[in-house]
Order: sequence, then structure tokens, then C-alpha cells
Amino acid sequence: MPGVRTVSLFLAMLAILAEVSVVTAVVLVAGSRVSPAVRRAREDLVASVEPVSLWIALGVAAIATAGSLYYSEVAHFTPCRLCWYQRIAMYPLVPVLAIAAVRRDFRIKPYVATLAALGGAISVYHMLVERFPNLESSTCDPNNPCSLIWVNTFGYLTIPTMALSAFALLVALALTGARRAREPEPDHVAATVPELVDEEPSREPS
Amino acid sequence: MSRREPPRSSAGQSTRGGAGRTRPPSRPTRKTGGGRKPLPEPQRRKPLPVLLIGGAVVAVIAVVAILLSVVGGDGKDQQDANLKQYQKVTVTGTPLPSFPAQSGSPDPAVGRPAPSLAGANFAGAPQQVNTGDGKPKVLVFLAHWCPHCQREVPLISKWVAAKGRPQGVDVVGIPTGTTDERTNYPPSAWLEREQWPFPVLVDDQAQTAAQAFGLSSYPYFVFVGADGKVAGRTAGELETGKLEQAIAELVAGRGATQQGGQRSQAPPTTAAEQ
Repeated sequence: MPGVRTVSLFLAMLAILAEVSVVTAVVLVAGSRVSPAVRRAREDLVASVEPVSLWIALGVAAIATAGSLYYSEVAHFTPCRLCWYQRIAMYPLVPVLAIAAVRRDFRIKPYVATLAALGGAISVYHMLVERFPNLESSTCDPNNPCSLIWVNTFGYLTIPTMALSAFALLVALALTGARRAREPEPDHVAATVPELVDEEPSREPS
Repeated sequence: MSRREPPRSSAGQSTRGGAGRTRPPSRPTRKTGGGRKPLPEPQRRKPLPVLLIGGAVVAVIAVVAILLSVVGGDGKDQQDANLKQYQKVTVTGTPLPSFPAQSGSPDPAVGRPAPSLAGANFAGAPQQVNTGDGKPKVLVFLAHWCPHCQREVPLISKWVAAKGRPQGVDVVGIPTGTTDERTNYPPSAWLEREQWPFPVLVDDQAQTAAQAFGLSSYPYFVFVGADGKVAGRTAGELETGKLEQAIAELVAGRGATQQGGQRSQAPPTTAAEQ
């Protein structure tokens, strides 16, 4: 089916983009401890990314979800057991991130990070099963073994590998600005805690 | 914390001399809400329009993906139009019960007469598995998409390349469970690429041959004695050493040996007892 190959190429290139982003983030964090120039670059990047991080995360989760549904509903690849567990971690992030992004509720970040980390762990195990099919069984269940490799782009990007790329990027986005979040942000605080704003001043006796 | 009005003189002028500063009248404020602006941070650089850049990158990638796949072609192995991935299969005799999935449980098929198959290979040339012809048989059921079959086939090819075909037994490969929705399609190209050294009898879409022999998972081996009775069955990857041993015993008429949990012991039959 020609369409599948196009979609796989598209998703695979996005996965590579996600991987590059995550590696960049790790390098910036590690480099910040050593070099003030890297720290400044990181702070600039965080300042640009953090305010829209929920929207970016929503985009990542939405594309991953749409890709997964394309494979099962349009290309008729049957999801195996491990695929379902990864879907359980990824799919709910779409409505959750959508609502959080609209409400600018950055408190959602630890929850997103947790779900994405769990999903990523399952992806890693699934990648191991693809590479070493005997981890799960020495035979193929006719219905759908998790060792079955449906897609393999550029020699290494299988569906769980792409899922891991998306989960890793979600974790990185959820952790963006984590340091800054510990300092009080006046805008966010003011928006959510009305009691701290000015009340009517008492009149001075003239 | 409220703002205080500065004391004003009735004349509206500062009581101090000198510069004569006046302060503009300040209104009492009500709720300032978020109007108490935080001090602006010294901006090093304007923040990047991340969403715009991200959106543009995704769009570019989409275009590249479409171009690459248009230029690159379908990606499937080019098939010879004369090769068919499904062929008609005729079964003679009683189908065997399903191979038990649980290791260790006895195989009910052992000792039963095995059915015979009449079909064709990929090119359409007739191919038979005639279990009543006095020669032992080994049927190897393979699915092209199954990673375990993909590992097993090269093992068998290398073994035969090194030691030659086993004598006194007919080995037949039966590609089954074929579907173009899964990888490594078509099986004809796969078996040719791996230099599968034995004849092939292609199963049909309904998996008639596989059902007749009670296939439960892949890869699947059925050992039939010279007497036409099932000597043993096994599922899963099989080391060539074990395969060699099983074939040797089959030829000698001793039936399959107990190997692990997936093979059952057959009552010993000798050619003399036919």
C-alpha cells in the first residue's frame, strides 16, 4: 500500500526530529553546568519554548495518536498487547494537554511527564522484544505476536521506536522550565490566586 | 497594601522650595488585579516564534515524505507476475487435532494416520505430500512475517548447504498465513532470497493445509513416519542439530524423541511392523 510508506516516512522523520530535540536538550542541560555560554543559550531556549511547551506537547501527542490510529484503522495493522499499553499512555495526553494548553495550566506537567515516562518504558521493552523475539516466546502466535515488525524505516525506526521518540520529547517538554517553575511566577500566581491582588485601599482621613 | 495619597497643600504646590516638584493627583485604586506589573526582565534576545518554526518544519517534512515516496516507488519487493502466493490445496484423509499449546501435554495426533496434500508451488507446478508412499515426511509450515520463521529458514538453508539434503526423507516447505498486510511479503521472494533448499507446497488463503495438520503457531514441524502415521510435531524455532536428530530417528523408524515440552514421545514403530 503506497500510502503506508508515505505515512511511515513522515512519522519516521518527525521521530528523528524528536530525537534530535531530546539530545539537544540533554546536551544543553549537561553543558550548562560547565559553560556559562551554554547556560545562557539554554535559558534563551527555555524562555522561548516554555510558554508554548503545552501546545508543542499537544502537537506531539496528537500526531503520535493520529499515526497510531492510521496504522490500525487504515493500514489494518493489528495492535499487539504491548502496542495497547503504549496507546494507553499516549492517547489520554491529547485531551489532557489540549485542555491544559487552553487554560495555560502548567501544573499538568508532572502528570504528563509521568505518563510519558511510563509509556516510554513500555516502548523500550517492546523494542527489545522486536530485536530478541525469544524474550517473549519461541513461536509466533498466529494472531499477533509483539515481535512482529510492521514498519522499519531507515533501518531502525519501528513503530515502538517512533513511539519512544515521541514519549521522550514529551518528557523533555514537560521538564522544560522545571527549574524556573520553582520560583514564583507573578503572572501565573496572580491568575490563579486572586486573594493576593490588591484590595480596596482604606481611605485616609484627610 | 494600599497606596497612600501624598499630602497636598491647598495651593496645589509643593510646600518645599527649590525645584517645585508637583506630584500628579493620584486616584485611589480599587482592585488592581494583575495590573501590578512585574518588573520587566532585561531581555537578552527576543524569544523565538517556536510554534511558527515548529509548524513550518512539520510541513516541510510532510512535503519531503510525499516527494520521497513518489520518487522511491512502492517499496515492496517486485513480484514476478507468474508466481502466486496462494495455491489450491486438496486434503485427503482425516485432519489432525490441533497441536496443544501447553508444553508437556501429550500430543493427541501421535500415532494417527497423517492426511495427504495435493497442491502446487509458487510457479504452479504440481506438488504433493503423499504420506502413504512409504517414505517418511517432514512438513515445515512457515509464515513470511513471523520473526521466528525468518530466523529458522536461513538456519535450515545453511545446514543443507553444508551437509546436503537428508537422505531417505521428503522435506517440504509450506508457506501459510500469507498476507500482504504484513512485512516480508511476498513469501516467494523471501524463500528464494534465503535459498530454501526443499520443494514448496503453497497453502491457500483459508490455510487448508495448516488446518489439516493442526497448526497452532509458527514455525511448525510435522514428522510423519514411513508408515504414514504422525511420529511427532513441534512448534517454534528448531536448532539444526535437533532437526537432524529428529530426521535420523524418523528415517530409522523410531519416531520422534522427547525434546523439551513441545514434542511428544511416539510409540516406537519400525518399518518391519507396517
